[in-house]
Amino acid sequence: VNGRGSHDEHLDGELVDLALGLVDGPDRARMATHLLGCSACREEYDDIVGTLREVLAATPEVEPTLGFDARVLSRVLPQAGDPAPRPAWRRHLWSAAAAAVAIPGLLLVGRALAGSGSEPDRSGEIAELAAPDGDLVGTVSISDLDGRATMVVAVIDAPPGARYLCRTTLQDGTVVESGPWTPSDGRGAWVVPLPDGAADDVADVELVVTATDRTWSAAHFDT
Amino acid sequence: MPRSDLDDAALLAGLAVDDHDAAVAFVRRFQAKVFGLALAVTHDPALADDVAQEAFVRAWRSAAIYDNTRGTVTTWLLTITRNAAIDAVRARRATPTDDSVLDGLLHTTLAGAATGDVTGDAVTTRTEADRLLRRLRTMPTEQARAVVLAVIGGCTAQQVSQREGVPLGTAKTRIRTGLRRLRAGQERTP
Repeated sequence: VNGRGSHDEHLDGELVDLALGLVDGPDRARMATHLLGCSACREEYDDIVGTLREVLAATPEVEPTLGFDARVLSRVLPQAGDPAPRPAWRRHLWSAAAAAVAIPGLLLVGRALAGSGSEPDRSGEIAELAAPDGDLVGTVSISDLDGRATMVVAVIDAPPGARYLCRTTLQDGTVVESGPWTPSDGRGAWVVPLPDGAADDVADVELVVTATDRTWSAAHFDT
Repeated sequence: MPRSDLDDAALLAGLAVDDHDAAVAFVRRFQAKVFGLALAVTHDPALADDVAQEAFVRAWRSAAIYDNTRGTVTTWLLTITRNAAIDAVRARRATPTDDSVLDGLLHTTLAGAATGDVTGDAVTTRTEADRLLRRLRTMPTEQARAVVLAVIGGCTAQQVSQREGVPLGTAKTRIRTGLRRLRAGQERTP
């Protein structure tokens, strides 16, 4: 079992636990980082996930109680007189640079800078980026690039052609938006600058599809 | 064409743009599957109802970016449901203890009990569920049980170990070997 996420050591048996959703916290982020840079493990993981999904198709059906459909529909369809569905967040739009750098390389940059005097305390922290179905689609790491607090958002398996905003929620509820960004061929890495002093306060990060304003994937940092 | 005649992907596309009739048809088409899985993981009908609702809400939020190269609508929706159910069980910090739900799950999937459309109509083409059930039922029983408990029942390897009365290592091996066998069968299926 690979304990540090080195690309020379594969995750092997850990991949089943990861695919079953049985791995949490730092271990999950570590394994997500490994998958971004290890095509052999990624292929194995995708195979396992594919099999798990097939098994789910065999789930026995059980009818819910009467009125279930109405309860769901009242939550998903706009009701007459409803206010705007999204809260009036405080927003700041930051310009952001899409970096055409190899994903593992960027992750290593973030880590290599950990230890310098001016970095945010949380430099080097990594959170997994997960799609709504729980599939790992990338990582978000807090970094210090050239003395500036940033996040590195690395994705794989993004729907081709989509443009994204990076919506970062800080601990006090402030929302910061960056972008837009279009990953080439569904994968890539994006350096997202953070406002001064915000690196220690990052709580949640969402990649939002600009065309629909809906979240494609999200990451959560334990604070 | 009535919405109920549309295929799964078309209904999901309708849900993505808040088409009322498509949303109704989508929920009605999948609610028994979604609730069945939520119940299998939570063992609690009230919690399963909440989880199933949450799964549909998550699906609605993500409908516009559904990627059909990563699975069918059914398996995509059930993956969302499974994750929502596991989140809910963890949030309660309590392990489901009602074994009768898992007994029923194992009986239904592995012993071939009637389960709505899972067993399929004899004259229709075999569904993905039919194919999977056939492969499960030809596997060594202990491996098939471990796979069903872990994947559909949402059990950890530790819980599989306790329920089956085997060491943790054996439970893990059964899950991994079972999944490997299913994958091998998958590759041979035309």
